[in-house]
Amino acid sequence: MAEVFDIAVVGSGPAGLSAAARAAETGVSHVLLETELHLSNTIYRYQKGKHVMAEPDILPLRSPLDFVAGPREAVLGAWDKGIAQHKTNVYHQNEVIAIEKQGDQFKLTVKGGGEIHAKNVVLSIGLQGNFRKLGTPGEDLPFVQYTLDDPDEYADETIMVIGAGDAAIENAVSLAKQNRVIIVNRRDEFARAKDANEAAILKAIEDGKVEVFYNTTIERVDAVEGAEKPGKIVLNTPDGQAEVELDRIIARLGAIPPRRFVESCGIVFPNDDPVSVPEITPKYESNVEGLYIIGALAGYPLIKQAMNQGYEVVEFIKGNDVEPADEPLLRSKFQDMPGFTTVHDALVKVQKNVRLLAPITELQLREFMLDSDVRTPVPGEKIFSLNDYTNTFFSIVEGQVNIVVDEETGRTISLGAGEFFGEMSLISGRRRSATAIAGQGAVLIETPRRTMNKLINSVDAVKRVIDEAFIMRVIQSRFAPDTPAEKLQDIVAAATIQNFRAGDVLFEEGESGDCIHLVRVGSLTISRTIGGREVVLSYVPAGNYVGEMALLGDNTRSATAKAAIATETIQLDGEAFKQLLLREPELRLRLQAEYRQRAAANLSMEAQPEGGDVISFLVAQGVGEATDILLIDEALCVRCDNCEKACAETHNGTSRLNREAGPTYATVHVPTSCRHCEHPHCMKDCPPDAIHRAPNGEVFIADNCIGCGNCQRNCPYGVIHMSAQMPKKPGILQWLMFGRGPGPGQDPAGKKKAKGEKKAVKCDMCKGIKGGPACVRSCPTGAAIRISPEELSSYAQSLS
Amino acid sequence: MRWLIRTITRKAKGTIAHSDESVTADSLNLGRSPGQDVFLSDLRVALEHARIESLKGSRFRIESLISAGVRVDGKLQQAAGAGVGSRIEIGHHLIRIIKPPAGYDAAIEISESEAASEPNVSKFSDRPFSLGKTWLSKRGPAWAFFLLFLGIGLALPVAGYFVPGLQEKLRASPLPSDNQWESGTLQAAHHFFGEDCSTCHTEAFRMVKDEACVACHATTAAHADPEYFALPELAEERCASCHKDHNGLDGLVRQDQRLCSDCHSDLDATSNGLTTLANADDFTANHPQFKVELAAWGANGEFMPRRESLSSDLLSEDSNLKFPHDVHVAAEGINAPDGKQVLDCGDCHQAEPGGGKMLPVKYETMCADCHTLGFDAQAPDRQVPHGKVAEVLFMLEEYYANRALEGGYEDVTAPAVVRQRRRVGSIQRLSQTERAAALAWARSKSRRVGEDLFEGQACSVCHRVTRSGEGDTLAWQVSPVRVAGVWFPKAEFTHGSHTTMTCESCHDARESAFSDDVLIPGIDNCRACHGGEDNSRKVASTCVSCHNYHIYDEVIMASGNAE
Amino acid sequence: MHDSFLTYRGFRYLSFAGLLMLGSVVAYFWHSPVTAPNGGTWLGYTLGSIGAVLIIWLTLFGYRKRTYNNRVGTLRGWLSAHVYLGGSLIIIATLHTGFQFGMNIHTVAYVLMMIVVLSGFFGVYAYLRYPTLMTRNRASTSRESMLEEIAELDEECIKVADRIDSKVHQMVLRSIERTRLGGGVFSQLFAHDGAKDAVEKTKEMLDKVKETNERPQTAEMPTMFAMVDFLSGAGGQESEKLRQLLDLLSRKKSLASKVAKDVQQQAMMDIWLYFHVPITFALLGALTAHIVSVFFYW
Repeated sequence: MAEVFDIAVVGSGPAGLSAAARAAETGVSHVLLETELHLSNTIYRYQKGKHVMAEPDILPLRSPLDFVAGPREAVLGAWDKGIAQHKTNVYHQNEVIAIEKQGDQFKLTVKGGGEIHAKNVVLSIGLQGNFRKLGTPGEDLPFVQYTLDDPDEYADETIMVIGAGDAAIENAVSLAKQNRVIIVNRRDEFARAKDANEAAILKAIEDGKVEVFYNTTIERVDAVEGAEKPGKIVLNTPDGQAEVELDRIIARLGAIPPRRFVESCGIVFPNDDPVSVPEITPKYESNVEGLYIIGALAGYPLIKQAMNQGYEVVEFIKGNDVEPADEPLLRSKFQDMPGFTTVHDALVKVQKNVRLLAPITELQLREFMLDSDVRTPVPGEKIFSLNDYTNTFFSIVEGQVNIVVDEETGRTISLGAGEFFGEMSLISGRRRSATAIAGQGAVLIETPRRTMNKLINSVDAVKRVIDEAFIMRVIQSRFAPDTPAEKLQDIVAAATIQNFRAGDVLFEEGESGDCIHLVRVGSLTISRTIGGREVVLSYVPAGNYVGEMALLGDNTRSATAKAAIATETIQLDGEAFKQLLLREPELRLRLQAEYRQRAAANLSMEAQPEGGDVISFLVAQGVGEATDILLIDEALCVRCDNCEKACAETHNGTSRLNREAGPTYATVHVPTSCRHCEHPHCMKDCPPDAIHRAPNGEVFIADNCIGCGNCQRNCPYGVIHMSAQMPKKPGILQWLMFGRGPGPGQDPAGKKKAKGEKKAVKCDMCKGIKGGPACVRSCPTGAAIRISPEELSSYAQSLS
Repeated sequence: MRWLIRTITRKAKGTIAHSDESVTADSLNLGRSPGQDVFLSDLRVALEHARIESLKGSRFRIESLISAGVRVDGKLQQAAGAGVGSRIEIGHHLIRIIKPPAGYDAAIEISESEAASEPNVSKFSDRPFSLGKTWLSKRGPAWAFFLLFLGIGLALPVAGYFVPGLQEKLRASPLPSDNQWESGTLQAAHHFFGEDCSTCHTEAFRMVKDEACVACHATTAAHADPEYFALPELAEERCASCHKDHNGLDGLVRQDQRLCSDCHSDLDATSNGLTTLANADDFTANHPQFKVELAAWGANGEFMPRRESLSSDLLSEDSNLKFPHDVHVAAEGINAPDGKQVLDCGDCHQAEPGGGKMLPVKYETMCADCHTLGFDAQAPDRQVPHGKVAEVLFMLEEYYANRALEGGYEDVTAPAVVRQRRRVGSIQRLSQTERAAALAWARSKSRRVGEDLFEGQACSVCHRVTRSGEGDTLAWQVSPVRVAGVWFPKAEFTHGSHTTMTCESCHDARESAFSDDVLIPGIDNCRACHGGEDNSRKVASTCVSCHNYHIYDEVIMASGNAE
Repeated sequence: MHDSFLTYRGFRYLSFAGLLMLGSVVAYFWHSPVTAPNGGTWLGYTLGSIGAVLIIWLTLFGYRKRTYNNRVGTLRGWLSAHVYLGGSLIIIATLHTGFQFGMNIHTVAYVLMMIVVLSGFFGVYAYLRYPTLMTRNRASTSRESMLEEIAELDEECIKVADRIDSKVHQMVLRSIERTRLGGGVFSQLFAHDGAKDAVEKTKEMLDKVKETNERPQTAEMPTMFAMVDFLSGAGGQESEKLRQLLDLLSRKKSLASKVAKDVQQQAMMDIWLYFHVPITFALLGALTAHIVSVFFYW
């Protein structure tokens, strides 16, 4: 009878390592099972020198192993050392293929027939555990690999990259510098990849740097003896089979979520959503008693969390109840909440009061709370005010909050415990639509945009609740301020959220229709066909509505509404709305007033179609999603590049804008510079969450940028680039008089290259500096201006 | 001869691979056609593009076989000499001539030129596309110009000022001296020393001192007696505060009215009541009536001219002369020895040469024709001398004594001895009594004639005559004539500049019956034509048109007040 | 929205300069100096001081323009004032001279100042004229892309030419070598690009090929054409290739001249500064000499 371990740890990721090490430290009999010859395969597979982060840095590390942010090698080194120190019992090349419970212990079957018995199993296999292979003969030949550490290792080879994802593209492009690279794509486009990567690969193909097979699958891979190339691949291309001799195949087909395996262990998932993770108790125990799940598989992708869980799970198994690592943090957060006893109670209270947060697990809530703040503002304190550019989300735990819906009359509606606010800016990405003032005994949870979005996207319930509230409030604020919520139920019920891709048509001129669209994300252009050509009449940013004309007049649309960018609208049913109009006579009047204004504006635009062309041109340049864009009137621009110089000089030597680049229509030039999008693409995946939006709307990169370059790739306008810290320049006079040192706009590093690790830089609208953006301030001729989309129509008219 | 041809291919990470081959030929042909010694696979290379020919002494000749030429050491050429180290560029290829290793006579090294990786813009990348990238520069010229102008315009002259003798050298040389500082043409009179600025500008950064001026203008009188009129305004002014030079050939003397009016518009205030002068600041608006200087005599007869305003009623001239102008310049004329004669002013009043004053009127030339001094009808052309009272009596006695002794004088009142004729040489035959009678007659006769001359028909006509004594002591005195020589000693009037006028237009002599009339016209007469500085309809006349500034000649500027 | 430096704040500085000039003119005719009007009268000194201060301040523009954290007014305001007040110097300085000119440092300074101001006026003209022209000329492509296209066309030409025959190939090579964009000051200012001759040559060759197709070959036919004919056997496809080449070349030529024009216009906008600035400093030198000398020999 083989030895029975107390704990078998499956998978030597951060979580597993930490668990095993803790077990070793505390003398618990244990075994760590790892498929590979090395530990922590995922991180081992990171590209050479990749910077590994220790997020969230507020969270204390709790593990026998050291872990600090640093290059991959350092991290791995530290762990190997730690493992060795604690004499951890590691079985390499033990790929567990089955776990079954036998009485009070588990039998782990290892590929190749071995068996291991343990009382408890800690499943820490993560998600990346095993890469998807070619699934064809020859998939394991020596020259076939599924990762790429250092593209520079290979030169003058013929390399075939298989896959159409970001990894594949990045590898292909970087390899193409020194090799003949062929990329094989199962489909006919690279839609799966990030825009930046897609653009990159398409360009590479364009330039002939990379060859490509579209709609091509792999038949088989053969090794060739004696030939100069070690291998040969047979492809099924649309026009028959093709053979290619090559030195190397790099397949980046992603990883299989190990769900099948996990379920085979008897663990149940809450739903079929591929991203969903198994349900576990606060002690990380799954529905199978004695089988614990930690790490990415448990929904904790961050290394530090995983390591902490490794530590904790061992403690739990040993039966002592450790408080979670984030306990002290949470405690400090809840501290000043009235009637605070324990974190647990507080969390329970939160979930009881805030129905929005009811559907999530306590662990999720803990994480949620880690990012959030508990605020107890004194009555009358401004939480945020109209037109602030904050986009945090507030939930009311206790007390009440007054929202000033009408600045003139100062009329407010008050929200009570359990409700939430701030979702408008969160969703539309625009300025605050109202001022929020704390009422009696208000206890709020303020949650940053990123965390909130994560929650919304992972838990449907949350999304639904928020959407409903959003619709209700929009209708209230835009149409029927005085009508109580319940009276609006019918129209809210009839309202639906519509999604449009850029260029989609909401409704056509002349067609009949009576629904109203409230733009909640993105923006629209209103156009009309005059003399056979489309003339843009106006531009409708988020927060406004279209289509009411049809309701007031006859039912035919007077113009065409198009989505300028990916847009979400709330579609209000015409009938319900007409009912509303009947109930609200003055609303009708108000709409008619606006109607007249718009009609007038439209007429003036029709009078001067050029203006419309300018709008449509600018919209085509993505002004649609901008909140503030730099425009240059080339009739005034004398190409002195003082704007660039100013930018460089005010941002230690690197200009964040490129005047020359960028398109021009008539005399309007859109230089390459940040538009401070409503939903900044750069924010999408910023590992350290270093990109923020300042109260005045500037999207800026904080110092904790780690230079991963994601934002650079994600920005569709190419306005972000990586740059190192530049040396100080000598005074301007020294240059003016004696030409000492590099002049304005010249690279401060001068001849010698700038050293120091690179960080992402982008326009921050000179938010540090008084007097507004340097580029505009330093334009001698008044060619450069910054405008926000709201001003677009008036701008267009001013030009023509 | 044996050539080494080394082809270099760059690999990633700077690894470099050679491949050598050797060719035996006198010259190498480079091109894209297979037959070439050096085969360059690049469309930018012609089939037979160039030839490298080895000359003696490891020199080479590169010759282009096509009109496009080859780049040798950066220059596009048809043919060029080259040596070890020369660079030949053909298309993307860089061909370097290197030192042949042992066993070879010559060697070239072929590599892809740096630009090869980026063939596109490389062709232009080395060329400047903005003026900023050309040789043009702002800073250099700016400094050069700045220093140039500063040096020439300032440094040199200043140096000249401080280094003794340098300024003269500079002036002599074509180099710019301090003369370039001359801000305007000097006044004509100053030209002869104008070359040397330091004549006036004696000290740097100090205004021109009066010493410099009075060095020449030694005799310039002061304006007023400093004892009374040591007014600060006067004391502190410098010559140059009125006399500003470098403003053209003339105009060194101030003509403007303000020069005087500053003080003279209210003299009592400005002179603390010490002056007797009336205020004046504009000829039209505010100027007192003219004063003339008239002859006058003190208690004991000393000459004391008096000033009288032309409008005062004390105005009369007593010149001891009786001369009615009206009679003399009467239009119908005046009785003269040969009938009527019409006189005009010019017959008596003739201007000095230069037209300043008038010449004195002379009896001999101007009166004598009519006013003869004859006394004896029997000798009509005998006359008594003019202006010599004593001689007149003596001459009469002598004359009549002579006639009495000669005898033959026709006069019934005379004794016979005077009347009877004598024979020649019979004088001595006259008796004592006869002789006495004759002389007695002669004496009385001359008395009567004298009396008649002085008090009758001659002297007293024009002159004031007084008689004294009786009998033998009888005598006459004629008071001396004294006309005012200069009427306006404090102003300047010249007839010379008024020749366009007739005399009558100012002096109405025809109306004047009495010789004590003053015929000098008053201010109104002048104002008929002359006006103040800013009078647009008349001759604009400022103070200095008639008056002088430097008039107080008891004090000389040289001993000057200023500074 | 866009507010040009000329119209800045409703011609604020134009009116300011206007008042200044008007004021000085009025003063000039009102004041009656004892001697001829000159720099030495009280008005002379006043105008002189104003002028000197203005000149110093105007020179500071270059510094202000490059101190990007400087918030003393907007740069646009500065330029506006720079232009208008700079222009007003003409009046102020001229009145300061009292029309007394001569062969002296003072007049030199005056002349230099006039040159600076006038060159500045040219600058204004350039700034008003060329931006629009540049935009029009570029037709919303960038110079880089044009250059790249030219380079690509070159490659194309060579390929085609190579298929015709080596003479043509050489000829094209030559034209490529001769194509000179950018370059020295003068070639920039006068928009030189050596891209023409190739087109002409190809044209005439094309004609030759045509001729051959018409009249029978004779002994004395031009070598060039002989070769073309010899290569092709029948001139037909040759002339086709040549026509193709011609198209490429003329496309390239038009691009080349576009770029040249672009460079030229850019240069026109820059060139004047290379007078304006150095002469400004010449002026500063002369001005110092003028002021010091006047008080040196007071």
